[in-house]
Amino acid sequence: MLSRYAENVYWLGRYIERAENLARLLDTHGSFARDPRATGDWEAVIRINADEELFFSRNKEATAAAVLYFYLIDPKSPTSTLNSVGYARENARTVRHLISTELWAHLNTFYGEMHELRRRDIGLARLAKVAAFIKTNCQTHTGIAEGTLYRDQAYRFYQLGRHVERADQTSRLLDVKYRQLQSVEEDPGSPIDISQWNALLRSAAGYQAYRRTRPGSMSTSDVARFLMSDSEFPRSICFCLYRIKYDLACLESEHGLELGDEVRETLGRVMEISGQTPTDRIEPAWLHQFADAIQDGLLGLSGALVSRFFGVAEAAE
Amino acid sequence: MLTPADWETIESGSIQRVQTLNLLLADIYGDQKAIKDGILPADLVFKNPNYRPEMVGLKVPENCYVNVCGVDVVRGGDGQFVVLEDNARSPSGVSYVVENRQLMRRTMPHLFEGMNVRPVLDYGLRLHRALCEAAPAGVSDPQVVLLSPGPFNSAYFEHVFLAREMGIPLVTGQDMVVENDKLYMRTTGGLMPVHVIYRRINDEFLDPEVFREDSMLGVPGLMRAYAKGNVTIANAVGTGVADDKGVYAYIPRLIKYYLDQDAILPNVPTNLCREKDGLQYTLDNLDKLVTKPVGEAGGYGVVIGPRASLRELEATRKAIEKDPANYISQPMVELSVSPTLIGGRVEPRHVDLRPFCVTGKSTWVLPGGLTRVALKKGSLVVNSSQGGGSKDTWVLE
Repeated sequence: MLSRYAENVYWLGRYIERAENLARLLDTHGSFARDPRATGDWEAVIRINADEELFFSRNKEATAAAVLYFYLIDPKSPTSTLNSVGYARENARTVRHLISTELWAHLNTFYGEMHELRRRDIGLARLAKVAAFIKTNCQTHTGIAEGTLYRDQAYRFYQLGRHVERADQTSRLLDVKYRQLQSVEEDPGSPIDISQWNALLRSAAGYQAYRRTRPGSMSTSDVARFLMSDSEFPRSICFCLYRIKYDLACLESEHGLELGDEVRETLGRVMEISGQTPTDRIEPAWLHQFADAIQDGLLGLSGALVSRFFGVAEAAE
Repeated sequence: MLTPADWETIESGSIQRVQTLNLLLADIYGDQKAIKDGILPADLVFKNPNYRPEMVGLKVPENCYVNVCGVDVVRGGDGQFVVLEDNARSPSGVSYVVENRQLMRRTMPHLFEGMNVRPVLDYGLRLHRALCEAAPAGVSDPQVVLLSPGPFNSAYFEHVFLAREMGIPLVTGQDMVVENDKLYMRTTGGLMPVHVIYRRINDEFLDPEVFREDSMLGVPGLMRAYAKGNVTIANAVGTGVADDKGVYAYIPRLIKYYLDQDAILPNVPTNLCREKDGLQYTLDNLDKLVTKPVGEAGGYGVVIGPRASLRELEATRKAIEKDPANYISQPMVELSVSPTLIGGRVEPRHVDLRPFCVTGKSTWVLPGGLTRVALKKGSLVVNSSQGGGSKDTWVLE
């Protein structure tokens, strides 16, 4: 398969995953913010995405309206959902011959609908609705991909992109939310505490699974551990890394691609970091470092994929 | 709709022209006999912007330069088919032929009952086969690719279509690299050899080492690989010298010269403004003639005398006087009409036909071709870039 195509499907997977996670983050943040006892710290969302410079070059204050506009429909913000879906569509367009017509048709419609959204559709009062709209469309995309994509190299690279992005996003979500949670843990079991870690788990769609597998536990450390290292939860960092390992193994065994040292080493490093979760209480400072290390590790892995599969390959013969 | 007898004329006439174009190109870039024998004026070749000195002495497989040729044919008032122009660079439009047929079969299947329409859906297979036949000598299972300028090109749809129909990778220049004078494409498994390029970009963008330095669309070193015979480029580099509107006027004489045959499909009589008589006749009859700049494609700059305003004619006169060699003129050909659906009513509209000739070891003509229709009432300009449409075209058994 042409390197460029592999890169296109990889980014198709990443951008859709990014759009879905951003919708989850904004949604859960919105529900935090509506609790009158909590501060509506919208700046945290900007920090999580490292967008401070761009955002504050155009806005004085991180109000809910400004942040939602910036992250949902601002055509000039490279991280807006509108642009993520747009980039996904551009990548899909280049590889239309590798994906199903249904996948393309849905993405095209989705982008069209994103384009229709106006400021009045994305206020705090309508946030839950618009987040549900984005999530549902991303999940529809995922469903069509699962049900129609031909299982060739393109599919593996698509899955790689998806899980690299998901691991990255979960680490960011955890980092910023955990700091907020921890600040109120001095009074464990208070109404605000419970509602906030509920919201965190719900934003990652992990609430039911968490309650089922850890009955009786209410500590923020356990919630963090669940999102970091639960091996069965599909949005945990650990799970995503195992999926990445699996898809790389498939590329090697089924498609005869050689992974090369750099890919192996970078994957090994990030898996090692993810395996070092403490069993006792998790401090916010530790978690912040952990999230940074995971993000760095994924960046290294992504770079290794670029130079191994998407970029200039060495001469044949 | 074309009867078997009409088609036989178009088919054999097109093959004859393609043979002649290939012989002409082999001659221009070889011994230059037609020029030495005084059949073709030397400056028409050597001063032509599409003449590529890089091609002199370079051998191409099967001596085939024009693997895909579109011969634009019209039917005049006397019912005879004549050739308006040859397209020997990278003629486009074949995707419409196939898509129009599929659309017609889906929407009006009853029309096809008992009609014995010759198929067009195997174009991709035929083209792929011909391109494989044109592969460098000694390559048994050639890797063919389609080289496109990318998604922003207006014909990208057709590039996607053809790559799919042929089952070959659709590549851009950045996907390929030349090492040791051999061409490779970058794949997830490393560099893979490429043997045949069906290119849909112009000569000047192919290789920044040889042609335009600023080209991002080509592959540095491609011409070295080409000169070594390690890769086939289809159509070959430098074919534009043969489909020029100036050289066009000489094609009937060249058919006689190379094949010792009369042209099966005649030309529209053409006055060359580069020649004194032709210039005088053109300037004296501007209001009756169609004038065309030689170097343009896509119908740009064409002035139809009988329909032009006095101001347009005056501007044309000035343009011709300034650069006579860049112009030709032809009598107005009354293009035949075809019933066309216009706003819910059927009305006559002028059409032309572009059969596609595919050449590997031999030449095959797609039965039918692209019928282009001028949708504006009375208009004779059928080019899609000027608002023309297209029609499904049937050749009957």
